[in-house]
Amino acid sequence: MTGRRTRGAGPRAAAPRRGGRHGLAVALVAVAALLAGPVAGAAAAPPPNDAPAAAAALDAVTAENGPVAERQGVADLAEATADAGVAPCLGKGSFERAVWFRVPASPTPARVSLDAFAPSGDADETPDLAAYVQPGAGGAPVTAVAQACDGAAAKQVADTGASVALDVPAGRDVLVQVGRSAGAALARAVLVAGVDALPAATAAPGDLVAGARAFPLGRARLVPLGAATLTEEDPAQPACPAAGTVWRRVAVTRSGVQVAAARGAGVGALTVFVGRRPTAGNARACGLGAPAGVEVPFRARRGQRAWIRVGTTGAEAPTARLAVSGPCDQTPLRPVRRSRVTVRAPKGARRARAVRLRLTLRGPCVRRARVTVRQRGAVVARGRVGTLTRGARVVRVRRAGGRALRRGTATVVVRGTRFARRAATVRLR
Amino acid sequence: MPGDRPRLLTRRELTVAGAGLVLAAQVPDAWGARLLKKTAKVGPGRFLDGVASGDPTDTTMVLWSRLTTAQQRSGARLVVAEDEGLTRTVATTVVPTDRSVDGVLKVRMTGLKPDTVYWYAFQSAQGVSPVGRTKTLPAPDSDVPLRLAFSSCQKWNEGFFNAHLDVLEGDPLDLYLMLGDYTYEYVRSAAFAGGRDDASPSTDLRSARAKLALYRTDERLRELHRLHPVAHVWDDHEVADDYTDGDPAPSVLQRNASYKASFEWLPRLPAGKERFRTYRSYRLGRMAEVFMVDERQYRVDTDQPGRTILGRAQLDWLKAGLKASTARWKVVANPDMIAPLGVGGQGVNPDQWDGYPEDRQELLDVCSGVPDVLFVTGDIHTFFTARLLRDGGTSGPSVATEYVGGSVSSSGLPALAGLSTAAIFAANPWITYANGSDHGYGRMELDAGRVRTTYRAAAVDRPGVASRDLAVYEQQLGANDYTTVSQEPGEVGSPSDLPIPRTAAQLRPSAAPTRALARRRRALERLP
Repeated sequence: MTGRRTRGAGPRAAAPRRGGRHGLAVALVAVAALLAGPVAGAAAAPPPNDAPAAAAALDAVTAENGPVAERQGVADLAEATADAGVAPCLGKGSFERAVWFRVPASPTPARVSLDAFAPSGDADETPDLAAYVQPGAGGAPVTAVAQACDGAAAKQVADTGASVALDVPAGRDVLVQVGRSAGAALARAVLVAGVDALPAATAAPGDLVAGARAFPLGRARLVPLGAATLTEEDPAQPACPAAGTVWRRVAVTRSGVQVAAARGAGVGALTVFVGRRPTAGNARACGLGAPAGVEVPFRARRGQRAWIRVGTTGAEAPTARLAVSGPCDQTPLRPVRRSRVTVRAPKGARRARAVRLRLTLRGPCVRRARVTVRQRGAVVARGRVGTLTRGARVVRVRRAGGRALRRGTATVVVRGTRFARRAATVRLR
Repeated sequence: MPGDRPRLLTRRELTVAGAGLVLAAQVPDAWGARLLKKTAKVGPGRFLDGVASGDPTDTTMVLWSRLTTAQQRSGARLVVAEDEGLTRTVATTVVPTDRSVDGVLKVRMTGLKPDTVYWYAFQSAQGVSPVGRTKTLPAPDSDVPLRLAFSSCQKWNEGFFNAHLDVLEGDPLDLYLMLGDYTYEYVRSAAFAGGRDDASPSTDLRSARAKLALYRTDERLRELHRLHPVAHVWDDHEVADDYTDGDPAPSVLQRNASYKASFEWLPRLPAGKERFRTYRSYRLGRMAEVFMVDERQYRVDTDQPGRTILGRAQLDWLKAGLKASTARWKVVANPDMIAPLGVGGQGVNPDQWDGYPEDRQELLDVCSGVPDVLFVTGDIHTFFTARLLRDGGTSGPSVATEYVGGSVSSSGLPALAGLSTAAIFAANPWITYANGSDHGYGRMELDAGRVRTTYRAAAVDRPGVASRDLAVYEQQLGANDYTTVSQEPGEVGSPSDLPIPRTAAQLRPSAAPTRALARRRRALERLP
């Protein structure tokens, strides 16, 4: 009521407008505070490893019946707080409360296996788990981007638990974030860490994003995956996890749907990023490795840069056969289906300087298409029409050799890269 | 003046502000575009560990298998049918898996028909699992007779699991109860049986999983899981020997890793909202209700104040369940022996209910008002048959009965070493049968008027030995007591069939159904 009276007072008409903006701001703050209330009200005494800089060491434990290879951490989440400045790896609402552990660097490359799960007596919920490979050992924490993460937001399986595995170069610490998502009741989580030495070997070219080689469109190449690792620049891909990565970059030359494909025993996943650099936010599509290979369609515009991330499983002597198509070859690693082109001469096809033809393509694209028109055995028109894509298209073919175009029948031949069509007969009118 | 009064927010301002914030919340932040989850698809992996079913109701069943793959995520298609050829399909779905569950495929199928046999198989991109068979429980109003079996204590390197061979013929059981010590965490053993070596103790998550993988290479155990629905509850050796006495307490890692691995490898899902809750009941028509009891996870040890074997919440649940049950027979699947077992007034094994007399008396008080409660028990590697007497188990009328099903392969209990059967009977007159020299399991046939319990036994020092009846008992409805139909004499403290010790060099690679499985077994047993 008070507000209405103020707005209705003629002489003070300007004041309410100012008041209205101010009121909106107050309302925004009030509603935001209301929404943020539960978080702000928690965490009276956070645990000592509440921040990355205070990451706790993992405990070596003993057992009465034999040696213990793995190490344990117990994450007290009830009073933990969110990590300001650390982007939650599993999206909004994840890692609402989190604590940190540190897996110390190994003298050789190592497979770091991490499992986090609710302990006995606690809620049947999945903790959030993220791993950050550090640029070195013992330095200030680098948490710009997680290299692997798993948790409730990424789960589909019946039993609850989060797990990641990373192949890490020698001399790198791994920071581990264990948390719970918004609305979860989990008070504690058990972290289990296993570290297995890997053979020291030179990592495959493209192990780092910065070393990603240019990859040609439309061709299949063997890509070595041996000794691939995850480093601090690799953005985690929860839906398509991998222990190591090998990168290639592709210059997109035609807009539309392209397809990246990879096949090989060492391929764990294939992810495509589009942008200046691969980031956690510009992954466009991904697929999981399979015996028949993995194909990942993605959309990109001409001039953009696509980053192909081949995720590895750590299989022995792995290589991948990799191919990236343009918008034409939708199955780059499978046998190409034969394309079919039908030719029609529309009404008014015969022009003074050219012939207009309607070409209809079924099947994969035909690159570098060339059209030749003959009448009475002589070439009367010919020209390049570029890439034919699926569907109908009217093309213009220039007269050749100063020969006149006559009414009546003509034969048309369409050729392209690995494509030739038998002569089609059309009637020029 | 009205103009000087603090101004309240208008409804429109609040609406605009709220809508703005809601919209802002919808805009993806930098991480919003991350690919988090993908639709489950059939992926790579081989089926080396068979299939299993369990945790049933009259309309649901948990179906299990496992993919062996280097991929961090995969999946398999599950087909459920009413015939062995899988032609009359009733359900099909894609079951996802990932490394967080060690490649386990697990799904609770719903909408099934009561008391019906189903067949099922999983298919990955690299193969097809064996075809499993299972059976849903009878409908709540059903009076059909039931067939149960129960066993415990299967130590890999102390004998072949011939007890499981005995249940492979014939129709599916209504439920097979596994009462604990499904695996053994330690490797020391008095003897190696038939070339079966267990070289790796289970102390953490990886080794606990490897232990289960080793045990599941046993063809008899795999076939049992393939052909019958199973309900499992753990005892101590899934984690560590008598670990609940806290001497020494197992690490958080060992305890929880063992629970996790056990959940992964057995066909069940947590009961309720607690992560590792295993205690639950199964209603088998009007004929019976089975109460699975966890005697490890909630235990407060005997030398601590408030000692309890079940924990207050579970004990209250069990008491309430027994009182409320409208089933004719109430079967308590009880890992540790509840009948007193002592010599000279002292319990020989305080790790069983003898160490928790208050809990036992509370339960016996309930049994005195609830007829036809039967305890089927594991743990002690000995066949026992006992009456449960109302007053502390040592006096008063019999209010319930206990059938202890020996061990599948584990050697006789050291605590009983040197004791004769006669001494046991003299000191514990409520016990009428004791046999620690044989190995086997128990069978139970339940109908409206009686329960017939049979102990079956077979030698374990070589594979493929047929089982024989060791003892048979009948219990009439309302009697809370049993009569002995037949029983072979047995000894308690001197197991007669321990295999001759062999050296590691004499060990031979165990036979395995496939090459891949043989490779795995050699690796797990660390044989050349």
